Amino acid sequence: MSLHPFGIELLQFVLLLGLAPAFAGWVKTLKCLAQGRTAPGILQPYRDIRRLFGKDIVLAENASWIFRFTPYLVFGVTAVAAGIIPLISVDLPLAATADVIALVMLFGIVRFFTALAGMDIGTAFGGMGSSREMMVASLAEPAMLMAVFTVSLASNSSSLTQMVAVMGHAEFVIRPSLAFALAAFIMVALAETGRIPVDNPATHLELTMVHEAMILEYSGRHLALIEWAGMMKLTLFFALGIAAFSPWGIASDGDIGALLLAFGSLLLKLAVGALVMVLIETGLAKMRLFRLPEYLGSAFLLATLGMIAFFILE
Amino acid sequence: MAQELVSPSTLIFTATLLAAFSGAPLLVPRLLSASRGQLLATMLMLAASILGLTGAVLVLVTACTETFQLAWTLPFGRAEIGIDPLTAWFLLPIFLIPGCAALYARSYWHADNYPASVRKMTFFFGLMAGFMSAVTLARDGITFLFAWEIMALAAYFLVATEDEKPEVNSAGTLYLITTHVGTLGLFGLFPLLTLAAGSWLFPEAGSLDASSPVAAAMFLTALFGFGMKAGIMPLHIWLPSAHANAPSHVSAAMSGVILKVGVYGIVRSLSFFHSVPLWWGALVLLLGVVSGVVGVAFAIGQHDLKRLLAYHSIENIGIIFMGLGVALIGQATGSAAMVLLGTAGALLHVLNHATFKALLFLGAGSVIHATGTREMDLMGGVARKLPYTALLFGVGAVAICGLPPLNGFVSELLIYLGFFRGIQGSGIAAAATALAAPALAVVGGLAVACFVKVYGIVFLGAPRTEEHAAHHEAGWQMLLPMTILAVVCAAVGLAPALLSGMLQRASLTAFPSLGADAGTSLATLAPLPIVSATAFILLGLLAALALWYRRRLAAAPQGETVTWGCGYQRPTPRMQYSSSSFAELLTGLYSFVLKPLTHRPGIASGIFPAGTRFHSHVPEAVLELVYIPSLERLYKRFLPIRRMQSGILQQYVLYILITLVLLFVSDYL
Repeated sequence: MSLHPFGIELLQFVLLLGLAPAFAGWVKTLKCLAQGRTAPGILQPYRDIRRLFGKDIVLAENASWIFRFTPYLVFGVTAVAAGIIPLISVDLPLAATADVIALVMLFGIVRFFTALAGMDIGTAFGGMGSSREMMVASLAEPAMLMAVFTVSLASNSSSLTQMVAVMGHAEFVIRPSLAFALAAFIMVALAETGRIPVDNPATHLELTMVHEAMILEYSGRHLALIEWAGMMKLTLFFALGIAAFSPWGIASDGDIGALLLAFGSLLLKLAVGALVMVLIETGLAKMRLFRLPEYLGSAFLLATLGMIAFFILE
Repeated sequence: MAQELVSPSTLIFTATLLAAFSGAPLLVPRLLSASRGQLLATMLMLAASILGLTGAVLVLVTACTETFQLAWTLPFGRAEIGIDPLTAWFLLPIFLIPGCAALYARSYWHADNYPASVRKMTFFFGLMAGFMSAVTLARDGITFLFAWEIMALAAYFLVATEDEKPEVNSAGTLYLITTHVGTLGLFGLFPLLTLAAGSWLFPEAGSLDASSPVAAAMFLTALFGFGMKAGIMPLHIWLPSAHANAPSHVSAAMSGVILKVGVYGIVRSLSFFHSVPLWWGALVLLLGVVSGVVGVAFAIGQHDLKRLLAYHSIENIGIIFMGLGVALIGQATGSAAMVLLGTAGALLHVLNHATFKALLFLGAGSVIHATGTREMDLMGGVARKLPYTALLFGVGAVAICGLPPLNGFVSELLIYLGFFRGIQGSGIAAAATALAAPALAVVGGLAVACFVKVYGIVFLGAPRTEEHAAHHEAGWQMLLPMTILAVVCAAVGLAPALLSGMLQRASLTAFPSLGADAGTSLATLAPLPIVSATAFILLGLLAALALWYRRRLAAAPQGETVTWGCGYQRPTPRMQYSSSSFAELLTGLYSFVLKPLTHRPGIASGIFPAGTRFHSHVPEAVLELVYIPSLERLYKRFLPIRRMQSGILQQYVLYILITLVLLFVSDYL
């Protein structure tokens, strides 16, 4: 029995929507364990989202329609991105859109409107958050593209699904180009998803906030949507990393058995990936904002090194 | 006969003449009142736009190529004009933008409000539009130069519309000097062309060998002369002040189209050659990268709305050059896919930049009209009073950032795909494209940052000053052209596949070597239908959300309260981030090229500290730190020669006489 490609798209969409809060909960649990605190449980994000949906909204007096529309847009566009990244199968019709670039651009839209919403309320906080987010993004995007380019070189294809298909069937060899690219990708992914050492999602301190400063005025269901979209984004970046660097086990078509196997391996890889991230986050302190260009610059250099390594060594 | 009358070439020639002389009736004050004359000129311009666009589309659909000989007695041989798909592609923005701008001017620069300048402004606007078209129609060097000069001079008078203001005057002068320095390059180009091709007529596409030294000289002079007009990075110095000081609809036409005529010149001169060496492509790509990255970095530092948009033009010309560079590298390495993707991306970006930049300049005009200032730090909360302008400007902003589902995304995607092809090649070509690809990502990221700043500072938040709070929405004559441009942006973004045939034909005219490789077509190289599908899904999703939002959620209870300001009890609008504070992080990052000036007073001390001021400014560093000092040194060095310039008319007549006699004598030797 086999699933139609559009069925797979739909399945991926539902999977991401449902799985993202659990994944965020898993990360939080691991972090609590690593730091010697009592964990609230994997299901806590679901409860948080439900609680926020039940609350009324309080709007800032300057807020225009952009501020009110942004949460829906952020949520919707992030969900569309689920149709592009191969989570469990590479048989995705939408993914043929030169995917990586389209993906970067989709997150670009999200960022554009989130930053505008930050400016919309007319306080120093919002502007501060938007300005910082824009600086981080403008440095992170090229580094991310460079890392993905290296993978595309190594797999000799430009589309993400082809890359995954090629890499998934290749023998496991440690390739220097991919090692550099993976290091760069991890650094960029930490920046793009707003984790330590770039941003700390757990604080509300004006000296350090980046993403939180932009969404400070959101409440009720608006906040729920933005939080949920943030969890999806985190999961998507993990999925992207998994797809680009360790796609083994992913289904090549819509066969149900293969899909189940792919789902199992995805869960396993996500669990392990979260552990890596938690170790990084626990081991490092948040970096000063003014040192971020150095951090992201090194990520870019690493990715470039990966590309050079490919040209010289492979 | 009937068929002959409506042939595309007839349509285009009629449109060109109609546009060129649309403002002529205004020159006779007794004939028409200024207001009536402006109305007539606007109607003529709109008619010209419709005819010209119809003609251009017909040429692109049928791929017809025609040339016509002009009756001409100058001693340069035949004079020809002609049409082909490449010309027709550039005619799309040339007829679209001035039509929209003319309608906009009817309200923005209405004769009743500007009785002193409306006559000359309208006349020169038509002249510029008509002769931009003539430049692309010309098929020999002399006709080309005639049309080029008339276009450039008409543009000067447009920049200097408000020449009673000193800054307008100096912007005009700077433009006049640079445009003629550029023309000097063309004076070098066309004689070299006659040397290589044997006549002033443009040779067949792909007929000249690019490996000779003459070809290299032609390439460099073309790059200099046309690059000056296109505003490529080290030659861009005229552009920011000219765009900022011209009336907004003129800025829209200049930024949208005149720069593209420069791009046309380069594409046309490149099309003469076959087997181009690799360094041509590498140089064009490098220029594109420099223009793109440095242009957008300068844009972020600006606090004058129109200057900022002008720097974005430099950035977008950089993107176009990146596409051309990819195409040339593809030609040098024999990759037809790169040639097609690069050319198609560059050509599509020509059209796209024309539409969204014109839209943004027109939107900026409405904002400036409503607030009475170009200074962004004085604005704020404009969206509340100008909702339609805010929406349309937002469309332009999303488009220029290259975000889906609008048109900027499609052309940048084509160029990215070209890069991907290049990276999979080998040697220097692969290395060059691999390093240029992230530059395009840098440009994209910084453009998003910059337009978040513009939109956030100007349209959102609360007004920063009472004096410059916006009061009124623009009239329909201003909103309609902007709506048309926004619809074009959306249409190209949603259904790029409709244009792929036309793009392919235009690219084939520029680089006929593509025709040899029958398997290469844009439809197979670029997943345009899937781009459409994603765009439609995105749009459908947004529409559904918006509808749901209006139906259900707008009615849900929501409280309103003062924005959280860290517990501070009396927040004022002045506490909002300003455009300079927003940009501070990024200008700091790029300070090694931007050289920002900051006046940073020490924090006052004492029990009753006196008031103090902080200000920062990003100057035109290339002009002020490179050109002016070196030109001043040159000026001192050449002072002795300057004695020839006495300012006495008789003496100049004598010079002319001496020159003529020398020429006459040299003919006999």
